[in-house]
Amino acid sequence: MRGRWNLLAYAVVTGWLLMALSSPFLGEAATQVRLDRFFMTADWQSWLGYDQLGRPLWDRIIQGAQTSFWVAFWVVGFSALIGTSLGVWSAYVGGWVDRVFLKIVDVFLAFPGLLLAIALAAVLGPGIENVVLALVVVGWVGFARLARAQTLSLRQRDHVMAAKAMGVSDRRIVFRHLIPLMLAPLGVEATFGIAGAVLSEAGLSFLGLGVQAPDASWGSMIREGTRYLLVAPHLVWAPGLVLMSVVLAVNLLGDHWRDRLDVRHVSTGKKRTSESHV
Amino acid sequence: MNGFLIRLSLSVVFTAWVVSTLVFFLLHLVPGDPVAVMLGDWASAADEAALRRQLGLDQPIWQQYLSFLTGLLQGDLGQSLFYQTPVADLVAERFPYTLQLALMAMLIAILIAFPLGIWAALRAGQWPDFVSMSVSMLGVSIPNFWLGPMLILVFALWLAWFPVSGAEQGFAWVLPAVTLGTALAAILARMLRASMLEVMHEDFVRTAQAKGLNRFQVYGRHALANALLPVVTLLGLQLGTLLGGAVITEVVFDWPGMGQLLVESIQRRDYPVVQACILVISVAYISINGLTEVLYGWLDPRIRVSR
Repeated sequence: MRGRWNLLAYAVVTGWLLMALSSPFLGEAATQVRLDRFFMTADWQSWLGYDQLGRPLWDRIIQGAQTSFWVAFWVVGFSALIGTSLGVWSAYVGGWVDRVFLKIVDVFLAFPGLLLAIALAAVLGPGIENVVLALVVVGWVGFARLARAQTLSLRQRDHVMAAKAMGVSDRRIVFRHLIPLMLAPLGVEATFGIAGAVLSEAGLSFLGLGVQAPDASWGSMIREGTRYLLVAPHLVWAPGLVLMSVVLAVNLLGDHWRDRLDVRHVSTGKKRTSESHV
Repeated sequence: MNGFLIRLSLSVVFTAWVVSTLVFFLLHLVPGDPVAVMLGDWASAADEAALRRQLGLDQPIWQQYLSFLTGLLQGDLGQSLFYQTPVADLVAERFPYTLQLALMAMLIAILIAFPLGIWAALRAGQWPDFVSMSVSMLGVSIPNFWLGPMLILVFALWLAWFPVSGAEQGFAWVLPAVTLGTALAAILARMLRASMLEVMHEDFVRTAQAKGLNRFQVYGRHALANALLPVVTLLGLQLGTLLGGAVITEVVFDWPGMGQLLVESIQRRDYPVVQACILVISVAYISINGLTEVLYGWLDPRIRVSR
């Protein structure tokens, strides 16, 4: 039963990728205002109809896929890079460095995640780069905690001790003997991170703090659509359904890989990134 | 227990101070001149200077920081630029709404999550488990800002059971609370299931079964009571997260709480209010987390002793 769902999840994620990557070849239709066909129902050019400015809804959704994909890509990429490096370094050096680091992480966790992102996006001003920046500031902490916990337990392992005794350099120990062993849990964390980033980007765009017109984001499409809820509910449910499917699929894959790779979640009671607080 | 409480409150105060410092510098050191933004391109230099003096922005940064901190200690959060009233009054007016919403959302989440999670744990590996975990997976993945409009569409516009938005009418809180509570219900149900499954394999549960207690006593009194410990922690953490997550829900439903005040103030460049909103929500979050630890320590003596 679960196998079939996982297959579906892979299909949805693949579809998301294809949409994101094909978006540049769509042409101008998605941003072209054509007031003569606003709210028009589906025709052979656009099977979901047109929005309040006469833009084909399906093209907008594909453009939104591109936005969410690149935001998720950069957010998770930067968060993983920064978080993992800092976490491994802190745990590997130990001592006061680690204690100070832990305090810093605690401060970041003291903010409700989304609120910090909203504050940052508000201060930095709207725009896609600032969304990425705000979400990285919130997102790196999860990777740092995980990498730190992993390093603390891994560096007591025999093979690391042996490498140390043989005089292997720290650099080599970290890159050959520590990091490869934590790729599985980090990968699972990254998967949930993608779901979280997609949700947060849409949330910020919904609040008007993310992607600016004329570019499309699923969040800003829902925001604009709510004004026409009575006349054209599909402006809200269509992008929402796509957004939810992608998040659901990515979450399912995260669960699947966690069970498959037998990664025990480092349970500290703190939040996991995939949860929809938005 | 006293030592534990003192250490905990010290740590709460410390974190609150660090957070307020961060918020202050975040808003004061970022590039860009709030005065220029507030007044627009056409303002005269004299107007800008006057506003800057009114806001105290002409003083050196450490002096601004000091007056900010002393004001904070006296409960003075500054003056709103848009409303021309003390920010503290605005916050006092809006905060109860957010609190009400968060508590109602939590209540709804508990009402959904407990049956779902316990049912899943008792029937682990069978279809009820699969159904309730699928439902909760769905709940985790639904964004508030989509669920909200959909609920409005069905229950406010089509069925007309509840008002569309605002907080004046009696049952106006239902839809926003359901929207906000769904994600929490999903997380709680998953957590409760995992925690129940872990506890159900413990010796004392087997002992209770061997004693011949009925199912209700075994699972209700022995298993559930112990499975609740991690769930209580999660609830506390999530109540704080609800306060933050309420921002979007409040915007969707036009609910006059802190979150909406925050978003409105961001759009109006009303920086003192933005600063106060972030500060109040964060400090509430930190305090609730602290209270959760107290509750946890009270429920589980092992925690108190080990710290």
